[in-house]
Amino acid sequence: MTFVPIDITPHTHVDARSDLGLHQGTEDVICIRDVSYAYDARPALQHITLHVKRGSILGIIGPNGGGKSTLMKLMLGVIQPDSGSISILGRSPREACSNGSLVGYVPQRHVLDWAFPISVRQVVTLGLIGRKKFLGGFTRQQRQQVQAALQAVEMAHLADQPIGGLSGGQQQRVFIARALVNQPQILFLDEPTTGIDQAGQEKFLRMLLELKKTLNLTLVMVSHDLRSVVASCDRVACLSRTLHYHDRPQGLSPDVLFKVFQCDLDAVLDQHSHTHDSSCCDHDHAPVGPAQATFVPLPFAPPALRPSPVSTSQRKTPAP
Amino acid sequence: MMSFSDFLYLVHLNRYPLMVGPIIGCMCAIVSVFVVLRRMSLISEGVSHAGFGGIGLAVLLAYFFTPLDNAVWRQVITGAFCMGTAFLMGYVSRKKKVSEDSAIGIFLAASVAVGQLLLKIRVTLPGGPKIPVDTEHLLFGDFVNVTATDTLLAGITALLVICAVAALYHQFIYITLDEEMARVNGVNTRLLNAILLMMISLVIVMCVKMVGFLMITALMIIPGATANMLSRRFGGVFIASILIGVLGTSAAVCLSIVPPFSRSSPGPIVVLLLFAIFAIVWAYRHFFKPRPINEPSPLQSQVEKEPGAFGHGHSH
Repeated sequence: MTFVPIDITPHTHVDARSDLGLHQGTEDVICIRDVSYAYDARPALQHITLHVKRGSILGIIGPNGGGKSTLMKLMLGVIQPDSGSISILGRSPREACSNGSLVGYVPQRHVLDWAFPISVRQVVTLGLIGRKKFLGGFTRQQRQQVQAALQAVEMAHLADQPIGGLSGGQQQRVFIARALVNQPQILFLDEPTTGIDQAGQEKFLRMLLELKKTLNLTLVMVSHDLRSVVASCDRVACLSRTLHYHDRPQGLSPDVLFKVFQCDLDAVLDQHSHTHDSSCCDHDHAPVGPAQATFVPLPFAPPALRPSPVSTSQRKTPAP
Repeated sequence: MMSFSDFLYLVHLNRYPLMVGPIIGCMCAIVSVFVVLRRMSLISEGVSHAGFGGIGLAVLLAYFFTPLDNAVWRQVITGAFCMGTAFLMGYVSRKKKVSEDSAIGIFLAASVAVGQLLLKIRVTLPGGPKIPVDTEHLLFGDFVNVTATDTLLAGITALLVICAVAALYHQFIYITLDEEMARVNGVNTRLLNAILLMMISLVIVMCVKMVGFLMITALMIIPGATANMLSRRFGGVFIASILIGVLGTSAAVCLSIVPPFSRSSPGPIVVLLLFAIFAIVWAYRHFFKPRPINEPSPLQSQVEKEPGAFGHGHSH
């Protein structure tokens, strides 16, 4: 199946139907306005504008080195933007995150040392550290909160196990419990499905969606795992230094994916090959030239992700 | 054979070392848990060697400013030098232009060189320091000169360390487990790291007189590393580490006041005793309980097999 060459002006393919670029007053829980960030002289993010609505599930996808983690760190207040502003529930990111009752954060799994001698319950209790009285211990009510969080992620029966012995999915649940123990309104997840196998991922995402519903959360998920994003998110932002596209995953067209992932595409999707002309690779650091990109219909993929030569609203097919 | 009165006399003669032994064992063991779990072994090595430079500086300063020529000021200057070096190591490696281990190696060598040079310069100046400086004692430790002042200083330091860890116990666990996450949760990681480095420096300065600069790293690493093989709970590791530290140093002090060990520096005895404990625990873990530390316990494997139980992911 051959695709016709696609011509897209760089950095302007924001879906007009998407609400991610629009500020909608109090509906927005996260407002990122024209944010740029550079490591020394190397730009990591340029002119990012993003407004996340209350109750939505935003997936941020993009290639390695595309700035996903940088954007996450900015939203968590770990680093400060060079220009532009970020507000989370009307506060600065630092303020919003240190409180704990506004923002919960589930970090990428592998950054932790798993031989660490600590029990599941203790890990979850640490989430309450901002609420602890100086010199005091944790109150009975706080201990009950810990138990409730463990029950919410169905980990209460393993509460006294050392965390190092749990499986990938179980450990991820523990970290969600730690993020939930303060009853936050927004939950950030960094590569949540890394290290969980296929069967586990599906269950994991189902649990996440249930938690979102019962606790009325807004979810922001950073992932290079397209499947998990497509399966669970109702809005998607593709990040490769600039924000390339944002809309519901159904609007994600193969050409946008190709543009964002560039060479990564082969690793992400396979089967049905199709060719791209160099004109679709107008990205400033893109390897220009015909590229082989292949697609596989994902088990839960919306129609737009299945290989189709039909253009979406954004695609312009050149005149014959 | 020693009579009972001889024994009492010996104990009286060595009352300060006998008191200092358990104290430094305890505070080293407390700090050791964090040093091991945060993988700061190399940093503690660097800081302890910086103490040699600190002594050199203290001795030379004492020549020019005579009020500084006493045990307390020597400790204070050495401690400040250790802390300064520790912060410099951190500062130089912060922007990743120099890797942390390189920075530690560089400052370690430089501060030992500074110490040796300053001590030699002091020798050429007229009149000796009020408290004599013996390089072998500095490197391998010395009991004979442990005084009431040293005991008091060690006691105060131990109290400070215990108070700091008790007050910030959960914060310390958090930054040890996951520093970035702790920062996100509003823990002042920079301040806690500084406090940890200060504690390491203080403890090293207090223990140096007994065990020496070369040997002190063992006290900062072995109790924590051994305890980590014994328990899978943070509290358990903590208690095991303190027990190992106190028992090891107490036994070493007792041994080192009786012949034939009384002629040797106490440092090697402390280190070898701790090493023996470590070797026994390691061998026990390795040969009799071969379950790797991260393998799921039988209970967990059972849980994972349960139908409907979540997560078939691989454990490490």
